[in-house]
Amino acid sequence: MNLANLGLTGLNAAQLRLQTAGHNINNAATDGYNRQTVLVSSAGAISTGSGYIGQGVQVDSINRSYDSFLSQQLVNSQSGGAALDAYGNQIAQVNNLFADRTVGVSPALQKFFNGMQTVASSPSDSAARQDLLGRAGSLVTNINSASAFLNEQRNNINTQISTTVTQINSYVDRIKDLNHQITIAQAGNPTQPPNDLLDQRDQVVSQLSQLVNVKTSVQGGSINLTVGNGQVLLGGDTVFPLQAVASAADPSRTVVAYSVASGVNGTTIPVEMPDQAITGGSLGGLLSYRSQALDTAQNELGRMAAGLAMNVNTQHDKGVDLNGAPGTDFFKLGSPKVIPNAGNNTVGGAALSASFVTTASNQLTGLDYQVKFDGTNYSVFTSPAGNQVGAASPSLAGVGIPGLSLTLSGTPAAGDSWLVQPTRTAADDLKLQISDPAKIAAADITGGSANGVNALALAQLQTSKVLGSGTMSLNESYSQIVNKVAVLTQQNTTASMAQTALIQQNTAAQQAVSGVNLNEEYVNLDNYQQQFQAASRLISVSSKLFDTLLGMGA
Amino acid sequence: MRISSNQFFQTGLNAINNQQAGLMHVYQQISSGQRMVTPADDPLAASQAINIAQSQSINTQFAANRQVASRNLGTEDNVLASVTTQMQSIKAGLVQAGNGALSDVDRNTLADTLSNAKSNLLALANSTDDNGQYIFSGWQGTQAPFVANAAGTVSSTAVSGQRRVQVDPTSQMATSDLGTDIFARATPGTQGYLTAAASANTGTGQIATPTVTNPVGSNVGKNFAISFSGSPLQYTIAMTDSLGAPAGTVGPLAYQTGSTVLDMTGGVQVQFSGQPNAGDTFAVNTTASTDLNVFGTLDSVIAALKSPAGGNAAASAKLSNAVSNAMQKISVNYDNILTVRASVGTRLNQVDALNANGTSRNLGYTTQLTQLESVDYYSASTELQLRQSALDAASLAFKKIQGNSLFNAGTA
Repeated sequence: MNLANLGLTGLNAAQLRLQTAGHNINNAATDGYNRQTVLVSSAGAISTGSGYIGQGVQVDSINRSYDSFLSQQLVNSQSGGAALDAYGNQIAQVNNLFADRTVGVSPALQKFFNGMQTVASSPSDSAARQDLLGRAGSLVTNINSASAFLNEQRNNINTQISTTVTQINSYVDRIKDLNHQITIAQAGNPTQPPNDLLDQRDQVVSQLSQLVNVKTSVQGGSINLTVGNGQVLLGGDTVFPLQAVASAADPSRTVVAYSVASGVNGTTIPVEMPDQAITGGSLGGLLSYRSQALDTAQNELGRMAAGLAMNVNTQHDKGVDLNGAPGTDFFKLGSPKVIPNAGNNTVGGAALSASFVTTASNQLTGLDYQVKFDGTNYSVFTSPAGNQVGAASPSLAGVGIPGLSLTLSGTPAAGDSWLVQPTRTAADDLKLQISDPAKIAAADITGGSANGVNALALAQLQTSKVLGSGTMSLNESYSQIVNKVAVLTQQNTTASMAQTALIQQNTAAQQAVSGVNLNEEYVNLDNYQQQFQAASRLISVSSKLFDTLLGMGA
Repeated sequence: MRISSNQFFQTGLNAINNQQAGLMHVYQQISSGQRMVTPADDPLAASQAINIAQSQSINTQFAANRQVASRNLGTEDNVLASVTTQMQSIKAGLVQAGNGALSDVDRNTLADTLSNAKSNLLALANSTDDNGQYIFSGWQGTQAPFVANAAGTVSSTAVSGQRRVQVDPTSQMATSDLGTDIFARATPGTQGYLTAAASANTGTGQIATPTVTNPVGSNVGKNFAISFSGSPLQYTIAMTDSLGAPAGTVGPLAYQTGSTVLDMTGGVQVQFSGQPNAGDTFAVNTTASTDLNVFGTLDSVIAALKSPAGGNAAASAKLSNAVSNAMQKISVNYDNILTVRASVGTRLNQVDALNANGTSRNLGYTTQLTQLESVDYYSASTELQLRQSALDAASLAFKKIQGNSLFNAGTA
């Protein structure tokens, strides 16, 4: 072994190290990049009579500084963070909608009842009557537009679910591709890890996790992906894509379905996943926002609208208008929404319909219900929680949804079910029924142009506890919606702050292992440069020695 | 521990972002004056504020209602003031009519005066408010409470109800009174008697001034019909209860010529004078059993004043009885009108008291809302300063540290 070769091993090692340091410097800001280091070892020694003579240095491998535990932790916390962000972005809109109490539903409600008081005080004043109708119209508009806002958000969420699912599938495809490339790379060079491909794949998994929480398992050089309760997204070489489909229970609601191989020619069929099975990532955040906050807020807004219409109508119907005719409905209230399940048997032509019991606004809950028929018995469950309401009964009259009356036509088949949303659309459906100021039934049954007895009774509905089993007035029920949304927003903000701190900690821990510190690389550069220079010196010394030897002969 | 350069920048950025978000929040608080930028800043306070705002709005509405009440009552009070004056002049006229020295011509003139007074009173009774609604017609605002027929006879129409206004959270106030309750009623609870002579009487008997000598007497509250008969002259008192059912008779008793007092027995007496004839009847009725329509009363007395009475003892007695009857009734009406007017005044006072209440309530609500919603400028501006310094510090620190790279130091 000559000195020049010894120098060469040093030169090679130093050059690789310099290159790796350069690679590190270049990728210092690359997302998902893990710092690489050159692993070298002594090239061993040759045994001679004089002892073991060192053979220089050999490069064993170029490794990435990667800790799977730390990066998994980071990915998980980022997934949770993405869910909170998605939730937060949605609820912030509703929270902002309620931000100013001097505009919107609550002041409109107050103005409506103030107008009613004015009519009660001066029933014959046609200006007061006209003003009341204007205020009632504005109240209806405010309630409608609050609900329209929530509808728009619901539609946006449907769209976002679809696009997110598409994005998830494209990430899964990319992971499949990277699995391929890694397998090929490993086949070509079984002893050395394809660091940059591995980084890329980890990065795609991390990006995927920000859309939905996935579990990964490594099988050979490939990774498999599962979602939810173990539904496979990527198994070996096969992708089972997620799909965004209209829910069978409620076609207006886009839900996520996973694919199950049906066994025929590798085709798959979609199976709906319950919303709560999908956690983490922006998809998880959107779904939990929809079921936790959006549905509740809209149902309760609807309940307020229903309470308003039912109670005002009932009282108004008792009065007599300016022309001496009996009062008619003041507001128009729609019917509770009943959606037959897409899987219902249509042979018997069974159709369920529901109507409000106009005197039972106090019983309305703001929940959704599912009515099921098992062939013998009807049973009612809350939706989506699935708690049974009352006992099962062979007659529809034996089961009930609070505040509603149910009627069924046709013959149901076993397994039929209906989703009943008592107040979901009530705020949308609310309309003003009266347009003629003279039709305001301000008088009681005695009549008379100066009789404001019924208007007084109507005005007193403002503070009557007409909702929530006698616990809430209309305005209080509205304030409760604001409170709920605000509490959820606050919880989200707090959780989000905690999650951000967690992500920062996990990032710090992961970066401590895998991150590139430019100062460190600077020192390395200097260090390896010197090593390179020293190794060059070996060659130069070797050359000088050779020259010396040659010179001796001259 | 290795700090990656990337993380260095990210951490610096995070710190600046956080400080800026905090600064923004304080800035929004200060610029809006609201402690809560969104309900999420204090969910409980946000919902409380909505409910307090409703209470305040209701309170404000009640203040507006009270204005209506006080306007209505003020109008009524003005009308009643005129009615009172009118009634005083009617009373003065009747006192004059009782003067026996008047000639038939004088009485005719007086009848005309009273006739005018009646018209004035009718106009007042049918007063309207700014909406053209009759103020004394209860709920039937478009229906006049009193109408005169072709012969000039005024009758009350079927109106009912008291207009009520919600003046505070718990009470509704009547802001009108029915015409019949003003012009055709004795003050409820009045325990008085009124006397009348039958128009067919031929004697010179004059009945006047009933007195309740014993308020708890056994016959107090009953109506008495006195009828004279026979020779020597005697009289019988037939009693009926308040519902008109016979409640016993007294007599016949011998009539002592020159009597000044007739005892109805059981606590009621009337002054009586003159010489009635057999067949003459007189009534002593409770106010409750008497038609107290002031217009009817005026019609009868006007008619009596117009019939000649000069030089005829029986006709004079008849006139005297009619005038006495009218004076008694008008006096009851007058007392009633004063009572109604007093009640209007009481209600106006009550409105004033409630206004004071409402003002202090409003102040309370405003204070509560301020506590819930308004930013404390002292602490907010202190915090603004603090956050500003923190942001400056974070920015400065970032600048210093990020400049501190070996690459920046240059190769020596």
